[in-house]
Amino acid sequence: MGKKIFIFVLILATNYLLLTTNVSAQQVSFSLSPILTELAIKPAQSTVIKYKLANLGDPSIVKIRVLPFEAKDSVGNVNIKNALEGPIQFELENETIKLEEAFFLKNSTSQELFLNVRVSEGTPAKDYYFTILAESQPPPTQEGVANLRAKISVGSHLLITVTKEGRVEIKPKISLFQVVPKNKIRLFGLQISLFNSFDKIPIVLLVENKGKNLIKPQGEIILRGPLWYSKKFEIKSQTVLAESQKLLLLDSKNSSSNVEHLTSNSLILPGLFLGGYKLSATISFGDGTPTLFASTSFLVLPIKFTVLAAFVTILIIFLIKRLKKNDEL
Amino acid sequence: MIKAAVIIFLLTTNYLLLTTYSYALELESPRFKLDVEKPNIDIDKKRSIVYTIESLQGAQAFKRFKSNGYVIKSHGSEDDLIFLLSPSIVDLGEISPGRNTTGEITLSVTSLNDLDYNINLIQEYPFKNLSGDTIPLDFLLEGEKSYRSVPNQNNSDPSTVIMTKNSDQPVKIIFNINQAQYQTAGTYETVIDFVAIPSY
Repeated sequence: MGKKIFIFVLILATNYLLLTTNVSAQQVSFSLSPILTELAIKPAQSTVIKYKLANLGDPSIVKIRVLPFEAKDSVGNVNIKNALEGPIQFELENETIKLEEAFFLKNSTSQELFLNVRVSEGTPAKDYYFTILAESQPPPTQEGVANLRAKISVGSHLLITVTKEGRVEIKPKISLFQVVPKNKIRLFGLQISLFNSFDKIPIVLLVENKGKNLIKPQGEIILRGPLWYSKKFEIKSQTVLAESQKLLLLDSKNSSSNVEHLTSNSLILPGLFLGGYKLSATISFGDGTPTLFASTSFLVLPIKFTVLAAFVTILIIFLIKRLKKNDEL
Repeated sequence: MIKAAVIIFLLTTNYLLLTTYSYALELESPRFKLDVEKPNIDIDKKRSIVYTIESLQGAQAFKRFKSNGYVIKSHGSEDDLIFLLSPSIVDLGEISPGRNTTGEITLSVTSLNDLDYNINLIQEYPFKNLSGDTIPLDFLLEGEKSYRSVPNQNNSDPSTVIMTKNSDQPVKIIFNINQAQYQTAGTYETVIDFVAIPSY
């Protein structure tokens, strides 16, 4: 009897181990490279750009899409449109993979993608911006329950400049360069930005591109203060899309991880003690291109300390007078 | 005498603290005095200067453009931005009228070379069953105090940025559904898109 039960349990256990699959929460992980491609191309020309899609999660069904985008704001966010439009055509040159068609990608494998870009004859000379998206397909719905199906898309921007002879339009402007003070005072018709000692000083530097082609501003900001104080901050090369504005970011280590904070300032200076300070920005756009200058100034005073000191002084004078009065009595 | 000394001392202190030194070198041209102009200086529109992609990408790139008809410049190396999401399906259980149910998704990004990126979230359609009955879907990021509505593509809502370069730790997103008292039982679902876009 015991032997029979043992065999029965063994068969059940074997069946369980062999015939069942573990239902586990699926993990999706992709990487698409290169992350950014710039293409300058003549009309009536075509070329092939190679991408690599790696699946670092569980096996997935993937779809490749190419969609146009435009700048959404001044901090580099984009608005990806829903459908492909315009005079530039795209096609995947892979044998088995087509654009907008799902294909299977095993785990821990990568797939090379050969994107053919064709520019029609007569295409107007200007910039065209696209995003290549590798999109996972959401898992099937679980019946009888409430469930959320997640999918991921990893993008890579493709910035295309169509130009017949290689000419580009560089029309930049510094649209805003100023500190963001908590206090402003008007003195003899001048508006003075005032900071309390050791308060952080946010700086905004906004560059506008009025041309039909992208520009790449780079340069520096110099802070000068009392007693020959001087400090330099580098502006690394950043892309500003055609007919858009961009907030130039300087040292991101000084920025907070808070998204709202990051989106409003180029740089946050650490608190300064006392004095008048001047900020000068110098921006260039490449060899032989125009250089832009802008400057702004601000004043740092120990406002809180002065108010406290005045209060304490008044209090001491009041107490001394009162003590003198008592002595006289 | 003391009064005069005090006045001179105060004036000197003010001068040292409240003035900044102007250097011709600052503008890298001793012949210019740009401070007299308004700081925002536009390019002179009347001058027609021709720039080429040589200015932006260098002489070699321009040479390749002229000979091939195109020039490609790729940025970033392999696996510069790895995006991971888990799990891809969240089971919120059976519908139970009048009850709140929550579920979690964890996102993480491995970004090499100090790369800028954004991760956006949007739902493709409302959280609903086959009859079209909907349940409001909210979310919050771990550490936040209050829930926000999940933006809906059907309503042309803009997607919400939930993660940026500075979020170097995995982010946990908690989804919440508020089931009404009269909520019909059955299968409810929606698709949530998480889109990772490197900066241009």
